[in-house]
Amino acid sequence: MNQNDLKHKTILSWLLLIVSLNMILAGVLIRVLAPQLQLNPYMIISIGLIFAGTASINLIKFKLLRQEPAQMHEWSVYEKDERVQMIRWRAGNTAFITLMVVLFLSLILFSITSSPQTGVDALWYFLAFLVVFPMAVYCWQVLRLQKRM
Amino acid sequence: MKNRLEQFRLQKGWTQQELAQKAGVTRQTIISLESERYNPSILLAFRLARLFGVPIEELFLYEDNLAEEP
Repeated sequence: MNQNDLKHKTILSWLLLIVSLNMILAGVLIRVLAPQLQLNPYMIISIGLIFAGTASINLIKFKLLRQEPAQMHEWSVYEKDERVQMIRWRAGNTAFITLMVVLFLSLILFSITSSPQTGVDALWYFLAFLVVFPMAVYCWQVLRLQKRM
Repeated sequence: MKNRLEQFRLQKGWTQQELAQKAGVTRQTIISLESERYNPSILLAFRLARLFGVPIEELFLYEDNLAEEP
């Protein structure tokens, strides 16, 4: 990774931080101004907090990397390493297939169920599951492949 | 695919970390290559062969699982 890549990743992290702060603000505003809405503001706030934490950790990491050229070089080698890239690619592939299978099964389930009554909460949990489950599969695959490859 | 990476590395007196630095990969990749858990790309294979100054066939031993035709 060179200085340009680092600059791009820093910009993306700042954007993520701004989005997450907006999510936290939106959650607080919903809680205070519109409590009658069928939305759980704590869920929005918690997702915002997770994103904000991720973005902050990345920004601190990038700042430290800029100050330490040796660490920067080491990280650059790690990011370009073909085995690391292969592991990420294979883990991403498995996560994608998992997502497709879950989506397909859900579609079948909703199709054969006559008039499924799903509330906002159930839909939210289902969509959250669709995000979290492939991510969990991805992480599990990365750990598994790091041991195997 | 079998390889003689460790043998050539020891001949040169390099550590895994040194070889990794010269090849531009992580030490973990060298460990995986030496233990034959990972097959390198053709680019990395050529880079390693060039580092040791040997032809690629000497460093990596290709084994075809299919029976060779007469």
